[in-house]
Amino acid sequence: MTEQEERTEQVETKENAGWEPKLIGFLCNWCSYAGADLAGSSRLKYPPNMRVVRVPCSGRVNPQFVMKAFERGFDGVLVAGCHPGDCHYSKGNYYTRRRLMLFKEFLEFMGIEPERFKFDWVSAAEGQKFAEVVGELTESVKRAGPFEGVCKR
Amino acid sequence: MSMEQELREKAKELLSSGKVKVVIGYGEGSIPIKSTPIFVKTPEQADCLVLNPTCTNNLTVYLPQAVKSGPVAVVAKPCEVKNIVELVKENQIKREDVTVIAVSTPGILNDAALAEFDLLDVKKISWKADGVAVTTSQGDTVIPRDAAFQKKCLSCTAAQPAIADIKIGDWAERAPLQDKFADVEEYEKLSAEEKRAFWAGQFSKCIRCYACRQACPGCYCNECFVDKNGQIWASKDTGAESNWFFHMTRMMHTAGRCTGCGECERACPMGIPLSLMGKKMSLLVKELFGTQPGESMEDAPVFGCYQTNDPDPCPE
Amino acid sequence: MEAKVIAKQDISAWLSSLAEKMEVLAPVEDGGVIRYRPLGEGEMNLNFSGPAKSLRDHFTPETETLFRYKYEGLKAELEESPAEEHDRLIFGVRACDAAALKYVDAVYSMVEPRDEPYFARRERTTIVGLFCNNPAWSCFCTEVGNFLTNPQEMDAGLTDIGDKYYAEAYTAKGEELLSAAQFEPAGAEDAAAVEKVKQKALSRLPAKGAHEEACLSYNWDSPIFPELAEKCLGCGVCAYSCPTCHCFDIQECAQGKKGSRFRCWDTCQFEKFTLMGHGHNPRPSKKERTRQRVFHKFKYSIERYKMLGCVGCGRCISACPVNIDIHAVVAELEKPAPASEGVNNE
Repeated sequence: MTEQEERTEQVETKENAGWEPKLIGFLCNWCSYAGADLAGSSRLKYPPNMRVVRVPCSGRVNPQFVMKAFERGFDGVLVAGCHPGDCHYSKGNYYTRRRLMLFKEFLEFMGIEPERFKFDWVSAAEGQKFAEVVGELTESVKRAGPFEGVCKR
Repeated sequence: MSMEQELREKAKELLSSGKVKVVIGYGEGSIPIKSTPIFVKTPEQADCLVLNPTCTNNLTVYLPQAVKSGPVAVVAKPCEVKNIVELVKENQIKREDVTVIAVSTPGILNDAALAEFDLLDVKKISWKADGVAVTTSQGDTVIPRDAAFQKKCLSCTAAQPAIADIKIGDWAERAPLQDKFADVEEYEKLSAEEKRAFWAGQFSKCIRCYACRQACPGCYCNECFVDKNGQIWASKDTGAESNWFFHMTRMMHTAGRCTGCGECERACPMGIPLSLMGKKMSLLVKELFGTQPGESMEDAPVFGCYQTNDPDPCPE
Repeated sequence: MEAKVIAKQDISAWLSSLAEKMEVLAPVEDGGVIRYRPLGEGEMNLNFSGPAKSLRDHFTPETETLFRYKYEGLKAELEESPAEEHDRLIFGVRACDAAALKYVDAVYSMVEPRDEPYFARRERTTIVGLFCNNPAWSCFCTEVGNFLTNPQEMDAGLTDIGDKYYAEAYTAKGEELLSAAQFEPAGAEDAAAVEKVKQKALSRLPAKGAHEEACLSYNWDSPIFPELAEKCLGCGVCAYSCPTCHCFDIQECAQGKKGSRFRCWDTCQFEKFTLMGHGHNPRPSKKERTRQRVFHKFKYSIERYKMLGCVGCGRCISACPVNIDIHAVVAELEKPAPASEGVNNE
């Protein structure tokens, strides 16, 4: 199946009733992934729509990861890392902040609704915040509806 | 002395003094409506250099390769000097290896301005005070500036270049004839859905000839991500989505070094408005980080540095 | 068969009636560029000197899936792409673009097994040409076969003679097409008008004759190639706009337990085209790569297929971002070489 047919199939599936957004989250190993763990071990309830990819640092998040996720039909993407100043590698998140702040605006310019991309800081102690962030993203993606692909035909 | 003569004299001096091994400039093309990049290596050849409204190429694209065989002089228009600044800052070339011949021209011809002419009959294209003169067997026709010049030239202010060793032409600051970002504003009126539909149409035309990448002085990677055979991030298929992925990545890679020279769009055989994306990038870079590509030798490359007070996704 | 004429205003009615039976493609304006596209995808524009893209992608698509696969454990399934099954007609084809098909046919006929997707498309396609009234500055078909007076691979050909088109059929398929109600027999004055139009068109083209003889002795070490290499950007505009270029790459697209194998265009102008697995590249620089393109078109093609690999459409010339002009390069190569320089064919 070509990538294109794959995408068409995905969109068609989404048009069925009971659609639930498919989200992907890139979480930094030291803060946000631990924050997600804490949310779990604290038995906090949050929507189960997100698949998590653990990265060593939010600095590892190449904008291509986000592009690929949208290109392959994810409805929303989260990138989360340590708060500025708290990076395990001291400055990885400063670099990623520059990159992703620009990228976020650029995605909007290309017609991808800002509701679909969330970039935030979640520390290892912020289990509650993690649950909220995922909840907010799920809600905003639900409002935006099923993603029809990076190039709408 | 005309700009062209001045350029030839300077090139002769540079070559005969041994200061540079080669002068990269423009020569006559295969037909008077075209010019072509030439590599002048002896003082005698310097008389082949031309300077006229057809001199459109961004010659700085040749620098990273050319400096490998010795010091080089390059003819660069105001927007292209910025590319040299970026290449130096990003350690692709050494400042001392490049003699910058900054040329401020009245403007460069936009190919569409010749639509009404029989191109086989055009004998000469030259600057006139109020535009561009096209000489045919019927005599001269003057195309007024706003129809004759490329969009980037109509918004040019000929601001003082950050670096220049030789300056030719009129460098008095001028009022732009057009708003550089008018098309960006027009585009941004579209809804998200319309924007995606717009790019779907544009990217479905892309044939992946990579002319945009090859013509871009900012695309200097030895191996482009799209050519990698191991990890295939960007598929070589020409579906609109794959093309979207390629162009998006290229834009992110050139963000902060795209000076808006417009070569990508000019080189594109399929008429994809690539500079629309480049212009938006430059606006965003300015808005978020306060810098403009190629305007100063002091600013660090935009993604090669950070400030602790950079814009934040969730400010305290 | 006798020549026919069709009034210009009847063209769209004629094409519409054909569109009921098959897909009809024509040069349409699409986002500022003219391409051969299905009718209705834009406004038909017949006053062009050459569409931005040749017919190439209609016979060898830019991306063509060969097969798909999926697997589960040790069980794998393969599914071949079905062959093209619909008939189509391409209208308004320039004589050079049609002639290029003869060359590409020759290339595909050399290999076994037969390339079914390609030949299926060829056999199901009818070509109706439109001769040039006003060749572009970059055109030079008179030097490579003169397709204006020597049409190739067209089923029928039209010439614009003012308020009507003069039409000739070259095959049985073409004759059937021209038997449509919109066509009338041509008169003597129509034939005279065609002659006038052709002479005017020819006057815009180079008068020099064919290249065939000279090509075989092109100088491998000509100083023009290092010169071209300096300015060539190494993009693929020339090859991708060329109607006879046909090289492709095979790529795979895998997603989890399924995927596809497809072929997509590739060109000798790209560095990786000849890069081998162990790291050696027989055409390491642009000098070898620019030479390859010229030699392939003008020399190797004669040796292999007994015909030139260039149809003189001039697209590579007008589209090249740095004004590399294959016509000028060939003229340079055909200048008598200085006696001291030998011809070395590797």
